[in-house]
Amino acid sequence: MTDDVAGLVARALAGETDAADRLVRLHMGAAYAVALAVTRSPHDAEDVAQDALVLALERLGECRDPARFGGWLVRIVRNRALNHRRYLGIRAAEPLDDAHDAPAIGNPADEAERSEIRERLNDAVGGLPQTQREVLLLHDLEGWKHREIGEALGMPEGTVRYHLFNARRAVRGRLRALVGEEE
Amino acid sequence: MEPDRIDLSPLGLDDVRRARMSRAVLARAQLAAPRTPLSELAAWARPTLAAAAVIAAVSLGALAWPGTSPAARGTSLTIATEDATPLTIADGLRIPEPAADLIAEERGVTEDDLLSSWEPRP
Repeated sequence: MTDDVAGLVARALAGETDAADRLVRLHMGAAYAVALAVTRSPHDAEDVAQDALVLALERLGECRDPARFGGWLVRIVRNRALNHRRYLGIRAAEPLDDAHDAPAIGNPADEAERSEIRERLNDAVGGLPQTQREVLLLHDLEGWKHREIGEALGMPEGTVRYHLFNARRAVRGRLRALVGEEE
Repeated sequence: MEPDRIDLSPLGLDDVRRARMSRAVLARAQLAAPRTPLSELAAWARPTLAAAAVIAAVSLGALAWPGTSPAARGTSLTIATEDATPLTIADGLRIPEPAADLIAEERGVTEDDLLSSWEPRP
Protein backbone atom coordinates (compact mmCIF):
# COMPACT_ATOMS: atom_id res chain seq x y z
CA MET A 1 0.00 0.00 0.00
CA THR A 2 2.70 2.47 1.03
CA ASP A 3 4.78 1.57 -2.05
CA ASP A 4 1.70 2.08 -4.20
CA VAL A 5 1.06 5.44 -2.58
CA ALA A 6 4.66 6.54 -3.06
CA GLY A 7 4.40 5.56 -6.72
CA LEU A 8 1.13 7.42 -7.10
CA VAL A 9 2.66 10.53 -5.53
CA ALA A 10 5.64 10.34 -7.88
CA ARG A 11 3.39 9.92 -10.90
CA ALA A 12 1.06 12.71 -9.79
CA LEU A 13 4.09 14.95 -9.39
CA ALA A 14 5.08 14.07 -12.94
CA GLY A 15 1.72 15.41 -14.07
CA GLU A 16 -0.22 12.15 -14.49
CA THR A 17 -3.86 13.00 -13.84
CA ASP A 18 -4.86 9.34 -13.42
CA ALA A 19 -2.42 8.95 -10.54
CA ALA A 20 -3.70 12.12 -8.87
CA ASP A 21 -7.25 10.85 -9.29
CA ARG A 22 -6.39 7.51 -7.68
CA LEU A 23 -4.54 9.25 -4.87
CA VAL A 24 -7.54 11.45 -4.13
CA ARG A 25 -10.02 8.56 -4.21
CA LEU A 26 -7.79 6.46 -1.93
CA HIS A 27 -7.55 9.17 0.70
CA MET A 28 -10.86 10.95 0.42
CA GLY A 29 -12.42 8.76 3.12
CA ALA A 30 -9.66 9.41 5.66
CA ALA A 31 -9.68 13.14 4.91
CA TYR A 32 -13.43 13.21 5.42
CA ALA A 33 -13.25 11.12 8.61
CA VAL A 34 -10.73 13.45 10.26
CA ALA A 35 -12.59 16.55 9.09
CA LEU A 36 -15.80 15.06 10.48
CA ALA A 37 -14.12 14.24 13.78
CA VAL A 38 -13.01 17.86 14.18
CA THR A 39 -15.93 19.81 12.69
CA ARG A 40 -18.72 17.36 13.70
CA SER A 41 -20.63 18.47 10.65
CA PRO A 42 -20.82 16.29 7.50
CA HIS A 43 -21.31 19.37 5.34
CA ASP A 44 -18.35 21.23 6.84
CA ALA A 45 -16.33 18.03 6.71
CA GLU A 46 -16.95 17.71 2.97
CA ASP A 47 -15.75 21.27 2.39
CA VAL A 48 -12.72 20.89 4.62
CA ALA A 49 -11.73 17.52 3.13
CA GLN A 50 -11.96 18.89 -0.40
CA ASP A 51 -10.02 22.07 0.44
CA ALA A 52 -7.32 20.04 2.15
CA LEU A 53 -6.97 17.64 -0.77
CA VAL A 54 -6.73 20.51 -3.25
CA LEU A 55 -4.02 22.06 -1.12
CA ALA A 56 -2.23 18.73 -0.76
CA LEU A 57 -2.19 18.20 -4.53
CA GLU A 58 -0.90 21.68 -5.16
CA ARG A 59 1.85 21.23 -2.56
CA LEU A 60 2.61 17.61 -3.35
CA GLY A 61 6.27 18.47 -3.87
CA GLU A 62 6.50 19.41 -0.19
CA CYS A 63 5.53 15.90 0.97
CA ARG A 64 8.90 14.68 2.26
CA ASP A 65 7.96 11.02 2.59
CA PRO A 66 5.59 10.07 -0.24
CA ALA A 67 4.99 6.63 1.29
CA ARG A 68 3.37 8.44 4.24
CA PHE A 69 1.21 10.73 2.14
CA GLY A 70 -1.82 9.73 4.23
CA GLY A 71 -0.33 10.99 7.47
CA TRP A 72 0.82 14.21 5.83
CA LEU A 73 -2.65 14.73 4.39
CA VAL A 74 -4.34 14.07 7.74
CA ARG A 75 -2.24 16.81 9.35
CA ILE A 76 -3.33 19.24 6.61
CA VAL A 77 -6.97 18.21 7.07
CA ARG A 78 -6.70 18.58 10.84
CA ASN A 79 -5.22 22.08 10.61
CA ARG A 80 -7.82 23.23 8.13
CA ALA A 81 -10.63 21.69 10.14
CA LEU A 82 -9.42 23.36 13.34
CA ASN A 83 -9.18 26.69 11.53
CA HIS A 84 -12.64 26.14 10.14
CA ARG A 85 -14.01 25.36 13.58
CA ARG A 86 -12.30 28.39 15.08
CA TYR A 87 -13.72 30.48 12.25
CA LEU A 88 -17.23 29.28 12.97
CA GLY A 89 -16.57 29.37 16.69
CA ILE A 90 -19.83 27.74 17.66
CA ARG A 91 -19.56 24.12 16.77
CA ALA A 92 -17.36 22.74 19.54
CA ALA A 93 -20.16 21.67 21.87
CA GLU A 94 -22.71 20.72 19.23
CA PRO A 95 -23.45 17.11 18.31
CA LEU A 96 -22.83 15.90 14.80
CA ASP A 97 -25.24 17.40 12.31
CA ASP A 98 -27.85 15.31 10.60
CA ALA A 99 -25.62 13.61 8.16
CA HIS A 100 -25.92 13.15 4.46
CA ASP A 101 -28.56 14.99 2.58
CA ALA A 102 -27.69 12.91 -0.45
CA PRO A 103 -30.73 11.34 -2.07
CA ALA A 104 -31.50 7.83 -0.91
CA ILE A 105 -30.46 5.10 -3.25
CA GLY A 106 -32.19 1.75 -3.06
CA ASN A 107 -34.98 0.46 -0.87
CA PRO A 108 -36.69 3.28 1.13
CA ALA A 109 -37.19 0.95 4.11
CA ASP A 110 -33.48 0.10 4.19
CA GLU A 111 -32.61 3.75 3.88
CA ALA A 112 -34.92 4.65 6.77
CA GLU A 113 -33.27 2.04 8.95
CA ARG A 114 -29.84 3.21 7.87
CA SER A 115 -30.82 6.78 8.67
CA GLU A 116 -31.90 5.76 12.16
CA ILE A 117 -28.65 3.91 12.78
CA ARG A 118 -26.73 6.90 11.47
CA GLU A 119 -28.57 9.20 13.81
CA ARG A 120 -27.72 7.03 16.82
CA LEU A 121 -24.11 6.79 15.77
CA ASN A 122 -24.00 10.56 15.31
CA ASP A 123 -25.17 11.07 18.85
CA ALA A 124 -22.82 8.47 20.29
CA VAL A 125 -19.67 9.50 18.41
CA GLY A 126 -20.42 13.22 18.61
CA GLY A 127 -20.18 13.09 22.40
CA LEU A 128 -16.57 11.81 22.39
CA PRO A 129 -13.54 14.06 22.84
CA GLN A 130 -11.96 15.11 19.53
CA THR A 131 -8.91 12.83 19.73
CA GLN A 132 -11.07 9.80 20.44
CA ARG A 133 -13.30 10.68 17.51
CA GLU A 134 -10.29 10.96 15.20
CA VAL A 135 -8.81 7.66 16.34
CA LEU A 136 -12.13 5.84 16.25
CA LEU A 137 -13.14 7.10 12.80
CA LEU A 138 -9.71 6.48 11.25
CA HIS A 139 -9.53 2.97 12.70
CA ASP A 140 -13.07 1.64 12.62
CA LEU A 141 -14.35 3.59 9.62
CA GLU A 142 -11.28 3.87 7.40
CA GLY A 143 -9.39 0.80 8.55
CA TRP A 144 -6.13 2.55 9.37
CA LYS A 145 -3.59 0.69 11.50
CA HIS A 146 -2.62 1.88 14.97
CA ARG A 147 0.87 2.77 13.72
CA GLU A 148 -0.50 4.86 10.83
CA ILE A 149 -2.88 6.72 13.12
CA GLY A 150 -0.09 7.36 15.61
CA GLU A 151 2.16 8.80 12.89
CA ALA A 152 -0.59 10.98 11.49
CA LEU A 153 -1.81 12.31 14.84
CA GLY A 154 1.61 12.48 16.47
CA MET A 155 1.12 10.00 19.30
CA PRO A 156 2.60 6.63 20.29
CA GLU A 157 0.88 3.46 19.16
CA GLY A 158 0.00 2.59 22.75
CA THR A 159 -1.81 5.90 23.15
CA VAL A 160 -3.78 5.19 19.98
CA ARG A 161 -4.88 1.84 21.42
CA TYR A 162 -5.82 3.52 24.68
CA HIS A 163 -7.96 6.16 22.93
CA LEU A 164 -9.53 3.55 20.69
CA PHE A 165 -10.44 1.33 23.63
CA ASN A 166 -12.01 4.22 25.54
CA ALA A 167 -13.83 5.52 22.47
CA ARG A 168 -15.38 2.16 21.67
CA ARG A 169 -16.45 1.62 25.25
CA ALA A 170 -18.02 5.09 25.39
CA VAL A 171 -19.81 4.69 22.06
CA ARG A 172 -21.21 1.28 23.02
CA GLY A 173 -22.37 2.69 26.34
CA ARG A 174 -24.09 5.61 24.65
CA LEU A 175 -25.71 3.36 22.05
CA ARG A 176 -27.05 1.08 24.78
CA ALA A 177 -28.38 4.10 26.66
CA LEU A 178 -30.06 5.44 23.51
CA VAL A 179 -31.70 2.08 22.80
CA GLY A 180 -32.79 1.84 26.45
CA GLU A 181 -34.34 5.30 26.30
CA GLU A 182 -36.36 4.35 23.22
CA GLU A 183 -37.56 1.10 24.81
CA MET B 1 -13.14 -7.33 10.71
CA GLU B 2 -11.94 -7.19 14.35
CA PRO B 3 -14.57 -8.39 16.85
CA ASP B 4 -14.31 -5.14 18.82
CA ARG B 5 -14.68 -2.91 15.81
CA ILE B 6 -17.81 -0.79 15.63
CA ASP B 7 -19.48 -0.57 12.24
CA LEU B 8 -19.35 3.16 11.54
CA SER B 9 -19.99 2.86 7.82
CA PRO B 10 -23.25 4.88 8.02
CA LEU B 11 -21.10 7.89 9.00
CA GLY B 12 -18.70 7.47 6.07
CA LEU B 13 -18.84 8.55 2.48
CA ASP B 14 -20.84 6.46 0.06
CA ASP B 15 -19.46 5.79 -3.40
CA VAL B 16 -21.54 8.52 -5.01
CA ARG B 17 -20.36 11.25 -2.65
CA ARG B 18 -16.79 10.00 -2.76
CA ALA B 19 -16.75 10.15 -6.56
CA ARG B 20 -18.40 13.58 -6.62
CA MET B 21 -15.92 15.02 -4.12
CA SER B 22 -12.96 13.48 -5.93
CA ARG B 23 -14.06 15.03 -9.20
CA ALA B 24 -14.46 18.40 -7.51
CA VAL B 25 -10.97 18.19 -6.00
CA LEU B 26 -9.32 17.32 -9.30
CA ALA B 27 -11.21 20.07 -11.09
CA ARG B 28 -9.97 22.63 -8.58
CA ALA B 29 -6.39 21.44 -8.15
CA GLN B 30 -3.77 22.95 -10.37
CA LEU B 31 -1.43 20.04 -10.75
CA ALA B 32 2.12 21.24 -11.08
CA ALA B 33 3.53 20.51 -14.50
CA PRO B 34 6.71 18.43 -14.47
CA ARG B 35 9.76 20.69 -14.31
CA THR B 36 12.52 19.76 -16.72
CA PRO B 37 15.63 21.76 -17.68
CA LEU B 38 14.12 22.36 -21.10
CA SER B 39 10.84 23.64 -19.67
CA GLU B 40 12.73 25.89 -17.24
CA LEU B 41 14.81 27.27 -20.13
CA ALA B 42 11.71 27.78 -22.23
CA ALA B 43 9.97 29.59 -19.39
CA TRP B 44 12.98 31.85 -18.91
CA ALA B 45 13.71 32.36 -22.61
CA ARG B 46 10.19 33.26 -23.71
CA PRO B 47 10.00 36.78 -22.23
CA THR B 48 13.65 37.42 -23.09
CA LEU B 49 13.11 36.45 -26.70
CA ALA B 50 10.00 38.59 -26.86
CA ALA B 51 11.89 41.62 -25.52
CA ALA B 52 14.74 41.03 -27.99
CA ALA B 53 12.27 40.83 -30.86
CA VAL B 54 10.70 44.16 -29.89
CA ILE B 55 14.11 45.85 -29.64
CA ALA B 56 15.15 44.39 -32.99
CA ALA B 57 11.94 45.58 -34.66
CA VAL B 58 12.35 49.12 -33.31
CA SER B 59 16.02 49.22 -34.32
CA LEU B 60 15.32 47.96 -37.83
CA GLY B 61 12.56 50.49 -38.21
CA ALA B 62 14.88 53.32 -37.21
CA LEU B 63 17.59 52.10 -39.60
CA ALA B 64 15.25 51.56 -42.53
CA TRP B 65 13.69 55.04 -42.36
CA PRO B 66 16.45 57.46 -41.35
CA GLY B 67 14.31 60.42 -42.40
CA THR B 68 11.92 59.78 -39.58
CA SER B 69 14.57 59.62 -36.83
CA PRO B 70 14.98 62.69 -34.60
CA ALA B 71 18.66 63.11 -35.60
CA ALA B 72 17.86 63.04 -39.26
CA ARG B 73 15.00 65.51 -38.93
CA GLY B 74 17.50 68.16 -37.86
CA THR B 75 19.87 67.63 -40.84
CA SER B 76 18.76 66.22 -44.14
CA LEU B 77 15.16 67.31 -43.99
CA THR B 78 16.03 70.87 -42.99
CA ILE B 79 18.80 71.17 -45.54
CA ALA B 80 16.70 69.63 -48.24
CA THR B 81 13.84 72.06 -47.64
CA GLU B 82 16.01 75.19 -47.22
CA ASP B 83 18.69 74.65 -49.89
CA ALA B 84 17.10 71.99 -52.00
CA THR B 85 20.59 70.51 -52.37
CA PRO B 86 21.46 66.95 -51.55
CA LEU B 87 23.82 66.11 -48.69
CA THR B 88 27.44 65.33 -49.51
CA ILE B 89 29.60 62.71 -47.80
CA ALA B 90 31.46 65.52 -45.95
CA ASP B 91 28.10 66.83 -44.65
CA GLY B 92 27.15 63.38 -43.53
CA LEU B 93 30.47 62.87 -41.70
CA ARG B 94 30.26 66.43 -40.26
CA ILE B 95 33.75 67.37 -41.59
CA PRO B 96 34.45 71.12 -41.14
CA GLU B 97 34.19 73.09 -44.39
CA PRO B 98 37.92 74.17 -44.58
CA ALA B 99 39.03 70.58 -44.10
CA ALA B 100 36.57 69.42 -46.71
CA ASP B 101 38.01 71.98 -49.16
CA LEU B 102 41.55 70.68 -48.50
CA ILE B 103 40.41 67.15 -49.21
CA ALA B 104 38.59 68.22 -52.36
CA GLU B 105 41.66 70.11 -53.64
CA GLU B 106 43.96 67.23 -52.64
CA ARG B 107 46.56 69.46 -50.97
CA GLY B 108 48.14 69.81 -47.54
CA VAL B 109 47.65 72.49 -44.93
CA THR B 110 49.69 75.69 -45.52
CA GLU B 111 50.71 78.39 -42.98
CA ASP B 112 48.13 80.72 -44.56
CA ASP B 113 45.40 78.17 -43.88
CA LEU B 114 46.43 77.95 -40.23
CA LEU B 115 46.65 81.74 -39.83
CA SER B 116 43.27 82.27 -41.47
CA SER B 117 41.66 79.70 -39.19
CA TRP B 118 43.13 81.46 -36.12
CA GLU B 119 41.83 84.86 -37.10
CA PRO B 120 39.16 86.05 -34.74
CA ARG B 121 35.74 85.55 -36.22
CA PRO B 122 33.42 88.52 -36.49
